[in-house]
Amino acid sequence: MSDLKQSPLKQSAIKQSAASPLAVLVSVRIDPTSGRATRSRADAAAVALAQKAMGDGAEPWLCTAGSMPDAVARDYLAQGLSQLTRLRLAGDANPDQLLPMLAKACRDKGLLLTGPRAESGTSSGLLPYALAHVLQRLLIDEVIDLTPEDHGGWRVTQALPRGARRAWRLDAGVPAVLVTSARLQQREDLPQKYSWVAAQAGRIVEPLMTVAAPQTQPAAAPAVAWTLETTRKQRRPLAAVSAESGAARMARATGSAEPAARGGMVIREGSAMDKAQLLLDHLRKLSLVQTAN
Amino acid sequence: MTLRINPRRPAVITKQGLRRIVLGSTEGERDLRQSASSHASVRRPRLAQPVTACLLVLTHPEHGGIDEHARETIAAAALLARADEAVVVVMPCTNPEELQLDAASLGIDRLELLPTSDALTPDALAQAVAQRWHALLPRLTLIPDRGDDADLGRRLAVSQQMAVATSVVEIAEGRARVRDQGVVGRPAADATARLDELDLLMVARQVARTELPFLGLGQRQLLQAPVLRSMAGVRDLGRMAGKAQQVALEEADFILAAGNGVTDVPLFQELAQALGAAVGASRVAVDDGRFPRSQQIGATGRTVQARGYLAMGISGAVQHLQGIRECRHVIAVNTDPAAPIAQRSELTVAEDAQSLMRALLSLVRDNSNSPEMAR
Repeated sequence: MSDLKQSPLKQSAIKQSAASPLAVLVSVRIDPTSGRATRSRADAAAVALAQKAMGDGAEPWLCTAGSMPDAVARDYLAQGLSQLTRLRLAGDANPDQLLPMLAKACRDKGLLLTGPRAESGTSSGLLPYALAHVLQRLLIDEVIDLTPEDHGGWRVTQALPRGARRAWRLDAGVPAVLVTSARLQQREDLPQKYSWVAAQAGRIVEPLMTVAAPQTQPAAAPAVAWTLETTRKQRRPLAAVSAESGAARMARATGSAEPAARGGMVIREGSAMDKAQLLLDHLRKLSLVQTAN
Repeated sequence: MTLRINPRRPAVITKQGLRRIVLGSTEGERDLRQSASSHASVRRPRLAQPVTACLLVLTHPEHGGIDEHARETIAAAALLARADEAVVVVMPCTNPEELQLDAASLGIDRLELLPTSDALTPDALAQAVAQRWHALLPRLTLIPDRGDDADLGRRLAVSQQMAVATSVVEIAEGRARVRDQGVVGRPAADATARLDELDLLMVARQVARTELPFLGLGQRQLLQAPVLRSMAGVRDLGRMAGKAQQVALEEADFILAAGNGVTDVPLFQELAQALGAAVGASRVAVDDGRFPRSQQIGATGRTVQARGYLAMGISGAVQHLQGIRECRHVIAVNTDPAAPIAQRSELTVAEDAQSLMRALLSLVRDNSNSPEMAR
């Protein structure tokens, strides 16, 4: 690692990275089969999106909070980044302080890009929302594309269900939290680099963070006591106690009850044109076909 | 000699609703089926006492209806509600008149419609919902954990400092269960928390069964439209509809599916284009090489959740019906109206697929050439 000399170009990249307008928050994924810590694919896709948005010659500021193993951090650096900031709490600190610490570190960054959900812990997906609330920023979720526009603005594209897209224009200097879509990792025009050299040459920075006193923070949500249990595969859905009579149950079991599915209307008469007209009217009634009558 | 008993002996239905056979009598009902259906339970309203509290459900309707996930969430609320608690559903919708819901049979006691528009920002909507939450003060709030609802729920949870459980997979014995994927040094497990410590449950699929033995009150109320507030420095550049042919089948809203009865594939594709439908196929059509494997719907192919499913020349084998189990409106075109698909479909057209497709295509073309075309 240390024998690799950093080129002047690399040095300037680090300078740009500290004042980068784009920050990406990355996290650890726990492999569900092996239980090992790995890189999250969704976060790696967010990094790739940030790199594409910034173009060559500049790189996003990469940040993580909590205990990310070095191997995972280097996996992120392998995407061609020169440094990753790892925020850690002192050994005895309250884990609730993670959010204020992250907020403090990200306050001067323009756009914060995060993955959709963490892939470790309860993966509630609440962190970006909490961060946006603490920093008083707007939040856009389901982000699938981010492109720079003239005068320092950004064009943000959201992926809506059924392939629909919605675009927003962010003016220059408007801070925002962007939560990427789960579909981002399926984008085929978003190449993810992996370079062993970058992984070895990149630096993991651990700045000294002083956490603000708790009374300056906004009132936190009431703590919920979570109890850990061993996993049970079988989930029991909530169901009403059956109010059916015994006779009805018996009728169902012997098949003498009315069949549940009886089928709908059947159109037999008329020419093909008449039938097609009836079918089209039905489709219009369900607003499946949008053409006017 | 064996004594054989006539199973269709005449029987009378008593006042208690029981079927009674009077030996030797000739009067009464002889059909087994009708008497069995007379036992069908009548659903009564769940609320008998005056209402003192409520449970709140938040969900966005889609195309004038709600999906299975939202139905399960409402059913969960109805099953969790105590005898004096109403189930209130707040629905932000762009077009309240268009909404077709049988609120009572879903278990909804009061349906509150919040008129919204495209110009309403998610933050403003969350604020309007938060106001409603403060006014109602529900014991629990339930939200389906998907899409717009997931976004709204998280905004609400963070702004109102609620105790929240997300992706709840099971509610049992007064506890909510979520999946914990583990952290470095600790394997994955389940985590449970008591319901009375939680304010907001964001539920995953299949948390509750939708068959309810009772009815809701089914009242409807139109709320005031929230105030539009623009976000500084952000401009909405509008939305673009997706192309039906490019959307994954699992996500498609309307699917046109072909079976063995479709021989004219170019005509079929043309019709799909004209209707704006995604293309699916049954196993026979795929095995024949008429459609790619990726478009196969059924047990060995994909399972789809489309709102509309138009089956052309598909007889409806059990394996195929498994694949379309979650489709809401199934329409079939088949030469044989007694085929199994007719049992599943709400409308069956007894006609050859080719001639019907030709007729339908000409009708759709005529309409799209007229000046008042919608798209």
